[in-house]
Amino acid sequence: MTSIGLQHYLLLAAALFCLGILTMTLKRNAIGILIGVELILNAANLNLVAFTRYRTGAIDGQIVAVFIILLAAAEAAIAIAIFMNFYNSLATIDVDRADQLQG
Amino acid sequence: MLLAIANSFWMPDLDAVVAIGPLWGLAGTIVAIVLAALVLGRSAAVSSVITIIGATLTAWICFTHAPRVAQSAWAGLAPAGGSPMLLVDNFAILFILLICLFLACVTGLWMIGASTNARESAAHLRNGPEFFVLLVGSAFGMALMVSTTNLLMIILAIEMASLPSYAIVGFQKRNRIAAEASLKYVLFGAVTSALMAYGISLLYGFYGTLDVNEIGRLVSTELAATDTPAAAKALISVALFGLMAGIGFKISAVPFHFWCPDVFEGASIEVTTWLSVASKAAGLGLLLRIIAAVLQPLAETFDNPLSTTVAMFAAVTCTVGNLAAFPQTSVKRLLAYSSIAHAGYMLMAGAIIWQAKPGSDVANPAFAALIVYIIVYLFMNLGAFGCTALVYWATGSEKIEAFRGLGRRSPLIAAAMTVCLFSLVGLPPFGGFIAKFYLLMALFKSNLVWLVAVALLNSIFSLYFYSRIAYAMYFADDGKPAFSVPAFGRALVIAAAIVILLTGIPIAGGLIGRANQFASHLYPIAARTTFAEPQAAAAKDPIPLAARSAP
Amino acid sequence: MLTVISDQNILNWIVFLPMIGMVLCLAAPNAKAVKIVGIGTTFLTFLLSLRLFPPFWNHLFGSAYGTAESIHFGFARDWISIGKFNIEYRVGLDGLSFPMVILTTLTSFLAAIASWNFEDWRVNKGIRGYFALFLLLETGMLGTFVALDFFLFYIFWEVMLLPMYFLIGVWGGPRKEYAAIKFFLYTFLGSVLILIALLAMYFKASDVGVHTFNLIDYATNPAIHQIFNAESTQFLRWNFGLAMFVMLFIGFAVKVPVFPFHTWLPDAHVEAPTPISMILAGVLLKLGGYGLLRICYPIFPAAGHTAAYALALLGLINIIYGALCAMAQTDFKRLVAYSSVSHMGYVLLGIAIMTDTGFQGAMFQMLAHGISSPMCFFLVGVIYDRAHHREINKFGGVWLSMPVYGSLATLGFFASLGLPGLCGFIGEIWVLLGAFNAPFPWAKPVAIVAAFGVVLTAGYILWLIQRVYLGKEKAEYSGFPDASAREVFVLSIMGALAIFMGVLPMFTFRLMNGTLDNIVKLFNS
Repeated sequence: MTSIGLQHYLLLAAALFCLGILTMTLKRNAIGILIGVELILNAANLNLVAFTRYRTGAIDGQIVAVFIILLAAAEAAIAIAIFMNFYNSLATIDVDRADQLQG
Repeated sequence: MLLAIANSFWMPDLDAVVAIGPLWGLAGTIVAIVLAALVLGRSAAVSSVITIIGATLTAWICFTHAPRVAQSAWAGLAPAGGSPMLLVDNFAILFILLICLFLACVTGLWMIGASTNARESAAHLRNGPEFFVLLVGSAFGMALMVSTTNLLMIILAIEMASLPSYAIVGFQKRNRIAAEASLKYVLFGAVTSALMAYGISLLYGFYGTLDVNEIGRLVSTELAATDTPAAAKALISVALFGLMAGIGFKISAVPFHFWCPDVFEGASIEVTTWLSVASKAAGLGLLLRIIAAVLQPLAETFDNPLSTTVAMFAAVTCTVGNLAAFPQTSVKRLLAYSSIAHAGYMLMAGAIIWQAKPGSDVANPAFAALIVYIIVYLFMNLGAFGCTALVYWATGSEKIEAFRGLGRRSPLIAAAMTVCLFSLVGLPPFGGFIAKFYLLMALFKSNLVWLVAVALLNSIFSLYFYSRIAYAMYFADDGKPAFSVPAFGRALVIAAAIVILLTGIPIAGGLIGRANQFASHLYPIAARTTFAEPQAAAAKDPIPLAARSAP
Repeated sequence: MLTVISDQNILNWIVFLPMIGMVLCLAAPNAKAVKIVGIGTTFLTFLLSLRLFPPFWNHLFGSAYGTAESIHFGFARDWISIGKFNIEYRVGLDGLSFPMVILTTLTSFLAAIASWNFEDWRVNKGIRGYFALFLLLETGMLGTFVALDFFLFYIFWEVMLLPMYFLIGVWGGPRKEYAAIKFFLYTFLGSVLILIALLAMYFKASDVGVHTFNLIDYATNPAIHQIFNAESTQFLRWNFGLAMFVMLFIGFAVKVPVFPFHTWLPDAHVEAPTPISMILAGVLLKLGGYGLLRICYPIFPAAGHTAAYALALLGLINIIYGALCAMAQTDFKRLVAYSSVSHMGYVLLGIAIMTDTGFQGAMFQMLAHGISSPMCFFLVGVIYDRAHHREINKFGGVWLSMPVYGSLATLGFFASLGLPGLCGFIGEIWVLLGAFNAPFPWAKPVAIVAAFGVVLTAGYILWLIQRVYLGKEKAEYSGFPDASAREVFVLSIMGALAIFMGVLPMFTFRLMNGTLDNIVKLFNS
């Protein structure tokens, strides 16, 4: 057994990032896309925390991670409010139905 | 014990608090709106007046501030040893000034809309305080965007600018178009900000700092070095691409532009006006800071890959915007594509590499050109969207057909719109030409002749679709009756047209000279970090503000 | 004249007087006042421009191109100047620009008079806008002729664009939109090339330490001259001088217009209202030739030498092709438009051979065409106002019903034809003589072929006169009133000038020869 090191965290984060991208591209449901976004944000957080622990030693990376968690919450709040507004007029949150504006 | 804890916190001194005065001004406006709503009741009129006062006051603070920080140029407000979080230099001050002026104009436009009793203004009137809190909030975020080079602050600032924007786009409840526009906006915004966060996390990991200037120096060293492994170069590119995704979204650079036409069409017209200028100005300000930090050390080598990449993005953005504007029938949407194209022109400034020569008083031409361009662009778009708004409120349509016969039905509005349109093309004697000419000069100087050709070809394309509106106004009259518009609205668009004419001929010299002055104080990076001798320690040491105010 | 007008600022007055008139027009209370203000302004401008005569009449051209003695009424101020970067407001007159200024003020005055019957036009709304744009156009034209700073020249050059676009597009004929946008796009394309050349020239001159847009400096500063014309100077991968010359040439060629950039011209002329056609033919086309003489040749003589063959060939094509096209037209105005293409071919040919005689002939031909061509367009306008169509084959015997008009028309068309004793003859013969004696091996054959152009011109014009003015009087034209006093006034001024220039050509040559000699001297130094 090798010990868990920086690259393991980075690989995990990269995997999360890829999953997030996949989720965003494959899901047609707005909430699904939002979940993909959260996955990527968490990948970023994992990166930051791991880098701080193994590479830089300074605290600023972890502070950034905390702020990103906060931002993710704020973004989700606004996004869900907007989804509900959309749902109120269309009774769906399928993004493919957002097709009024084109050209 | 308590004292020790208190001492361990970083407490800014009074000078520092004063230095970020413009930010206080905007924050104070938000507080004032909320307080007024609590004390005086929820009144849209009161909120709008407070917004105008707050914006004007902040602009005034910026104005009085500029001479004080003229020499400071480069320093951060940060705990000792940390990288600077906020920068107070003339570049930031100028952009905040422009944003505040524009905020006041957009609020004025909103007041006109509210007074004409248009359909959508009902929602705005009902929820006036919320609307203005969000509007000023996004202005605050944009003000942060142009005054930072710290990666954390960049994320925060972009989110601060974006989150309220999402909300004001979808502010008209029960309006399907607006709901769809805000849905697209928030999804695009969330995705790009996630990409940006991931890119930033990588950059932080590679270089162990959040300071863009230092990262820029290291990145350029590594990209320029021949022994850097290709994999590392690829990773750096991914990280930079992520960072650029967030900013590209704000300025609607291709390929992050898809939201732009939809959002501009779906949002109410004053929100569109706001986003078309302020959000792009702030994004470009931030982008230029970053690009300059990355490109600066690479000067003298004209064919470097980063500059070429930015140039490609600019050329593609410009061309896509202009080509997509061709078939549009809605003026709002046409102007949305035109704003993408103009973002492309302005992005071209980012490809310019310039090395400050010690003791030289020549300003970075990219900054000077961008400042001129943004100032003129602000008035052009204010005028063009203002005219569209007036026509929309009078006729209920924003299609090109609604402009038919405008030359007869409302000659002054038509004349103002004509000036704005041909200025957007970049035709002399309007300000748009001076802006474009100065930008082209800067590009030419940097050996980017092909980019000059692209810009000029695009101007020829754009002539065609802008003149379609002129065509409708003057050549195609369907005999509809004349209409009158609110006097204040007329004054607003005519003032914009007059400013465009003034910047075109009489004060062109003054404008360019002043822009150079602003730009020349901006980036004495050459003095701070010479390429051969990294001064990481010195960079982290903020110059005391007191020392800065001395000339 | 007023004391505020001095020799130093008279050019500013001349250039910006129409702009003051423009503001007055917009403020005028009724249509009649607008017309009076418009015509009054152009007349005042014309009177003012007459004050410019003395130095040129007294042959004060200095010893070399661009010296202080050769440039009169000069005025210069810093305009956009930051550090070394310096754009000036610099105007001045020499023998090249002076005749053009007179031609512009005169043609504008006559065209303003030709606009008097505005109410009878097909589109007769918005007279304020019409005269305002007309006067703005005059400012643009005059400014282009007097500007000695390249940037200023370019600004004025573009200022002409928008008024012309609207004048054709709003007050034009049935296909006005098409014609207006075509004119706009062609000209804009050309001016974009001029803009690139402007930037490239500025930076190349900066390389030798001269930061200027001054056109005279470009031509006479030895360091700039050396780097601009050296074989080794590059622009991208091409020879610098040749690349600049070609870009500038295309920019100017659109205006001249040179085949194959000429296709906007017939459309614009046919659709434009009569006074605008007069301005277009009388002045705007001359801007192309003027630009070549002012910018291309003095600054890039080496490239001019290299390109002489191609330019002469294009000129030849213009002459022959324009004449053949004119012969095939059945629309009166379109015929006159193609005759412009043909006549401007002589200008290009005269310039291309780079000799004294050639330049003189080209300048004279521009002036002669500036007299005869507006006259022809006005003649078409007069008959169109009465018949409301321009089909040549439907006319006939007009002379019988309108004897005064018929006589003046014959005079005008003969002037255009190049009948000895009238203005067109001198220009053509000078150009042909110049080409025959030019120091190029291909010059003689070109001159001989070009001489056949004269025969073609005579052919289509005589045939035109025969079809329209001669023959039996047709019933539908018999009741036409003869030319009114206003029409006779316009026509007789131009007719008198056509005769005067044809009989006493030395008077005209005298005003410009010195400067043209100086330009030719530049080539040999």
